[in-house]
Amino acid sequence: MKIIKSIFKCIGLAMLCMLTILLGFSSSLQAAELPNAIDKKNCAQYKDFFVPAMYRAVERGDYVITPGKINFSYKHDDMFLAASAKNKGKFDVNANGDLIDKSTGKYPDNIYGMPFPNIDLKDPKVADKIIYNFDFQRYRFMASRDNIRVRWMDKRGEERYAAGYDQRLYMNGRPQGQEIGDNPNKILTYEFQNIKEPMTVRGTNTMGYIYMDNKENSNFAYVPAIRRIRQTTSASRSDPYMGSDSWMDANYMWGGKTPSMKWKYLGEKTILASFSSPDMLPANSLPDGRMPRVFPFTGPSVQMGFENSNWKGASWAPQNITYVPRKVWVIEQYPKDPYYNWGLHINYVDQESYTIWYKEVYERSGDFRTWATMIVHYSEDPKTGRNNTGDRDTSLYIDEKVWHATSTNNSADPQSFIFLPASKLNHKFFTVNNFLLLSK
Amino acid sequence: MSMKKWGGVGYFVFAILVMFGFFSSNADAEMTTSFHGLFESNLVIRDINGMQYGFFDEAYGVQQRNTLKFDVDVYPDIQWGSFSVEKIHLTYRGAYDSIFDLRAHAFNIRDNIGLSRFDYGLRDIRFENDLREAFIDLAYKGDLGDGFFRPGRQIVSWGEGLLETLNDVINPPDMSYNLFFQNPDDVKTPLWMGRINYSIPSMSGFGLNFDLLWVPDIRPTQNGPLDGVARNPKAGFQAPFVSITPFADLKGFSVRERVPTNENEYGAKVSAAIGERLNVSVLYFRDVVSDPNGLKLYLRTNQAEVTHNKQHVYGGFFSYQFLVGSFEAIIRGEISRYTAYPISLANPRVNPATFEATAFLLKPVTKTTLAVDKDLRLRWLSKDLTKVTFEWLHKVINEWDNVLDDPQIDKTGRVTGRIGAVKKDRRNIREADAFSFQTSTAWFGSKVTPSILLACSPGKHGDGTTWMLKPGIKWAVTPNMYTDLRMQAFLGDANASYGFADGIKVASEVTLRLGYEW
Repeated sequence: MKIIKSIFKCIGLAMLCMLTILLGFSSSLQAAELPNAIDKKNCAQYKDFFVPAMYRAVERGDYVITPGKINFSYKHDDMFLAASAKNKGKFDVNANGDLIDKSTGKYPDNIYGMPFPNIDLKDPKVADKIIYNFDFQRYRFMASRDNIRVRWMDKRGEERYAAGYDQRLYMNGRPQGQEIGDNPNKILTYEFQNIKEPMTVRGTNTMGYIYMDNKENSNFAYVPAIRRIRQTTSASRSDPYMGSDSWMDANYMWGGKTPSMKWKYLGEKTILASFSSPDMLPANSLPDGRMPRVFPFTGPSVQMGFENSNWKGASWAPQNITYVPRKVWVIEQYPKDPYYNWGLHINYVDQESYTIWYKEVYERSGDFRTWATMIVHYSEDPKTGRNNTGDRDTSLYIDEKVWHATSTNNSADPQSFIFLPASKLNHKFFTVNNFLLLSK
Repeated sequence: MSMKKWGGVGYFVFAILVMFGFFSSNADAEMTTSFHGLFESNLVIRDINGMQYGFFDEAYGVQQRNTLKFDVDVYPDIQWGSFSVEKIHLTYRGAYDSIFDLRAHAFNIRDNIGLSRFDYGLRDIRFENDLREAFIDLAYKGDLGDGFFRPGRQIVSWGEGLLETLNDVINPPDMSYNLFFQNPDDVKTPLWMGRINYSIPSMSGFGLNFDLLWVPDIRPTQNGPLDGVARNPKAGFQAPFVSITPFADLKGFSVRERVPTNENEYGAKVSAAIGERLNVSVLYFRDVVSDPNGLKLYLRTNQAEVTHNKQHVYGGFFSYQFLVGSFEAIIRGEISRYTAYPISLANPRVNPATFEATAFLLKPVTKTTLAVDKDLRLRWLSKDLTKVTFEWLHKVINEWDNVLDDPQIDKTGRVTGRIGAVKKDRRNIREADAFSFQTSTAWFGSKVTPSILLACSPGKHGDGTTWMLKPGIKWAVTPNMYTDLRMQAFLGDANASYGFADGIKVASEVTLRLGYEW
């Protein structure tokens, strides 16, 4: 009997292994055999490659997906990955969800690289750690100045827009030699949105300080009509930004305080991620380290559906996108604050680059409301190997309750850079004095 | 503009050119520019007997103003150690009000009074051609903190109050063409001045900022032609302020503004950021009073002279981010003390020997305001936040000794009677209050933005409460085109003659604006 049992066990194990291999292989097989276009006629065959919201969009005919291949490896540069590897075992997440240095039990003043280079899916805090890796891969840019255009779109096309600069400074996640020691108020991120056009909203600027600890953010707004700086409430980070379908915490797919949410790992999946170009775009850094922004398109954003006269789908559907299969972790996010504007969020986080490709957001009542897409391209400095992995061309937010969309778009500009060193953008830029200076 | 003033402008332009030459040797300079503006057409229709007495049953077009306004900014990206040239800014505004041609018969205004550049005639309100702002920002960011020096023509606003001017006395209002339907900064008169703003290096939980001003450009509150459209409710700029003392009585007079342009104004503000939530400022301003604080009527010659004296303004303001649990609001407050504030006499005093009348007394006055701003989630109204503001304003004349010292005034301070052909019904009152409620939100993905302002001045001494209602709605027709419909109405006791209600009469107005912006 023992022999028979052993034989059955072996057969069972073998079958399980084969099934696992088949399942894994089938995914890659399907990825290799994706058609040139997935639309409402054939989308059912490829349902597994979509997040639910996007699948419904394809099924409705709002989107036509054009799968393809990218001619580069979408990952972080070697220097960042090597620094990340050195962080192994140094950091942890406490019961409150705070990132801590194991040696001190406190929030670390500066970490360069991802704090958790090895992800263990059995770790009960794995979801928090994945999101902290997401945070720190963004912080590696040190500081950025983006030429931004926010586009409000209904079913017919663009309704209104606002354009200007978005400046960010990360006080953590900075490489050696680039640390900013002068941080008496323990600020994690400085933000400054400087609206340049159109005229009636010109100068409607906002500045915010996000603190390293649990303190509420400080926010200021310049109101050009009365020529004054005014304090504003911080709760508005989860409320629509200037009447859009997005909110401050959703900037770059997640721009809030990580411990303010409960994070939960749900599983893995292969999905189709959005690239605005299948090719790498070289970007030559300046001698001071600034990396200029280059984009595969001209104009203020990737082309949208309403800008393509032959397009029959949704006005906000991005055009000329190469959809590429990427493995993701599915991470649930739920706000701890009972007054937060939203309920459940589902994030689809790239397993290699930690880019959040999609985000589905539910109302507190449980009704589905908004989904967000991250559209990227890949730039690399051929000399240093540094790249823009994790940065966006467009964040697109679609509100399925009111059928309205907003996109936040980066585009080429002589003043637009990532990897801005402290000599070019530091905390002195984000003073009330400078806010006044840049606001009229 | 006097030669002295033109000399100042010339010096400013010369200084810019010299600085360009000086810094242009910097090989790394990456100069960028921006050019944005708008063109809009605005129609104002006035119901002269108030909408509550028949909805626009006696209405007249009183403005059809076509405005071109644009900003030019030059960012030279010139750095010299810790110093830099940050920006050169220009704002131009030009306008043509066609109502003076479309309803020419309704306006009996001389083309150019010509007594001083502040005495507006028809030409001044029919056309505008003004380089409103022209300044350069020279900045310092270094170990000693950061700051900037901004010489040029500019607008500076101090304070927290929205309903009434408290410490915001630097740029006088331009009431020559509109008052209610413009952004507050559009009805300010920019002034040539020098401004230094400096912040000490950042410290834990504490920041200090200094704002210093020197203003050699002295201008008054700019009125329209005082001898022309005043008291003509069917035309002109002033209604519903048709009975504002003392201008109601000036029709037929040759009015001259006597402005002490040889004077200077200067002031300083110190602001402290204490912790992350509290901002407190204290200030002083040596003020040439923008409003007339002297009016002499020469009754024999039908001439009038408006004068402006100096006073000290002391004040302070604060804002506090109030946080208890998840409840959050901004609390704002402001106080200002004027040492010689013009109090218009309910009954101008006539010197029987000279037939000269005095219409103002200068008195110390204190104004206080307290306000709360709260963002509300009203899902039944909008998916966006609904912004709500409550504001209370209190004004007191600190020395009341002889303001009421007039036998013609009754015990409540009211005086009635006539000056020439003009019926008067006015009251001096020592203390006055006003309350306001403002709210705004966004609909249809912020394509439509409604707003409403409701203000009231509570009744006193037997008079009823007066109300001002100002609803508005803006629609983004296309990404570059907008239209805007607004109304203002004065409700309540039309005969109230005290405090903030004095002069606010029954007229209602509606405006329709169509604009293109880029």
